[in-house]
Amino acid sequence: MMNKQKTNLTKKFTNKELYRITWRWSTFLATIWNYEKMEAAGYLITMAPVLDKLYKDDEQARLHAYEVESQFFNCETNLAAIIFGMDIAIQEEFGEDGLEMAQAVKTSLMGPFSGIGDTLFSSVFDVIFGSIAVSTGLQGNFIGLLLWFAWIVFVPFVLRPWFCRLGYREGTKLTESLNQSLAELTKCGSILGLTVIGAMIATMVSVKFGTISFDGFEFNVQAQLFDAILPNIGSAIVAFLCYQFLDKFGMKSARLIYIVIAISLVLSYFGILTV
Amino acid sequence: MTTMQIILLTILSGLIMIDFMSVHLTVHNTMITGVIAGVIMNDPQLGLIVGATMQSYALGLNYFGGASIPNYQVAAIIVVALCKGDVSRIAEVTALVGIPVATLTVQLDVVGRIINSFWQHQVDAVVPSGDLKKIMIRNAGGLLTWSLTRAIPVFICLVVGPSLVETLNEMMPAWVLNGLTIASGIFPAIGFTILLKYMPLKGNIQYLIIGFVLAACFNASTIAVALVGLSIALFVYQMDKNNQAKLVTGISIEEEGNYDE
Repeated sequence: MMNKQKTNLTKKFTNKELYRITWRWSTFLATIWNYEKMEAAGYLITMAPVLDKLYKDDEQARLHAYEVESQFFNCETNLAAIIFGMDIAIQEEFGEDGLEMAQAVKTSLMGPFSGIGDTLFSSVFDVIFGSIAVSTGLQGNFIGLLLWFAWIVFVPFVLRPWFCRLGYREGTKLTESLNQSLAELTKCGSILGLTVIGAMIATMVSVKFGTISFDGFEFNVQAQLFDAILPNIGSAIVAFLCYQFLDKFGMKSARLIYIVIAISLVLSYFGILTV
Repeated sequence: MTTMQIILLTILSGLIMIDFMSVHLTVHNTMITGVIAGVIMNDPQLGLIVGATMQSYALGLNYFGGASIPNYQVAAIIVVALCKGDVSRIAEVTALVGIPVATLTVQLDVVGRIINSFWQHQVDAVVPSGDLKKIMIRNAGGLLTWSLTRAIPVFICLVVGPSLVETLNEMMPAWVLNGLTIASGIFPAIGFTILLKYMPLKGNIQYLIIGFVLAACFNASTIAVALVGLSIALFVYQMDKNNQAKLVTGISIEEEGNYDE
């Protein structure tokens, strides 16, 4: 008992080691991503040096740990670093007995962390940096892209290792306090993200209505109707329609793309929409 | 296009895919891919513009939880190569080759993920031995699967592409080409829709409208809109914090109001 307490107080892994472990994750996480176990092999490879070090005197325990850590895993890339940070802390503290707890932490956190991480990193940050980069890039200007690239480099070199250290330092204590602050960050980030997406719908989606003509009567829908109300209303209508149909009637994004192509061809043939 | 350029672009498409599944330096970022392809084709500027065009289709698309999506990276490489340094050809080449290729690669992505089950079984078989080296070697098999699913279509398109574009251009009636261009104008909406499905849109639609109006009616730049969004976010954050503080200290709203006055 005393022995365990002692190892608890003196941390076994230095920041440098944690940095290397995070890079193992960054490199191997989805090398053999598959529908069965998803990122399981990547997770095992990330944890392998940790397991080798913790169980170097107990071959039986080491093999057991390998077995446990090769189970199903799938999580958003960045926040996953917190999970294996915690996993290391738990196994360091409780040894082989902690494996069950580590497994529970993994399975219970990967879902919520994926949700928060996808929103925060893919929806908020990537959309903001991405839309700035696109609007400058379309004019042939590199500055927006450079700004985005700086962020992209920052994430695996600084942010992800920091997440790992955070998980390792705080261990299981983290779960509660983190949920609170991440929820707040996600909420405020979403507001920022939604504002930018609104602007992107107006500037990047382009829909132009054509001219309706019959019996010598001509009516240019775009110029005479919509330009007077709200010039980009077509973009808003299209975005609204896509939103209504996506994920309903078994409509996945790929199928929606095929349908958009088909409808565009028809509307182009009748001249209802123009380039 | 020289043979060397075809080889380099094919290798690029494989490497991009490997990065896609690991460090994420180019993931979600079609523009970097476009610029590198542009460098190979001696025209980084063209690469940037093609990359930005493809990026606008891809902004919201993401491999959420392992979903398969059109691969605009591959499309960007092919379009850069087939534009022959002419910026005015981007829209046409994108409609004729870029979009069809990007949509077809969805299926290849699924094939790659299915083949990877084979490697997973290989890894599972050696896990009980606890031999990390064996695990790593079998894991590396995935590099082959991932890179080939992208390199093969790129190679084929680059070889047959140039003549294909000319033939298609002559064959296609104007309304077909127009239709594809109209579709490419709508594509960004699909990406944003997917994003919106992952965001708390309920009760927050006002922010979407603010952004839309700023851009549509006032021609605000993206950075201006982002700063307005940031201000609102900070405002809401402060409100939440104040509300929480009130809850903790138990001060009622009236008292707080009087104190402020």
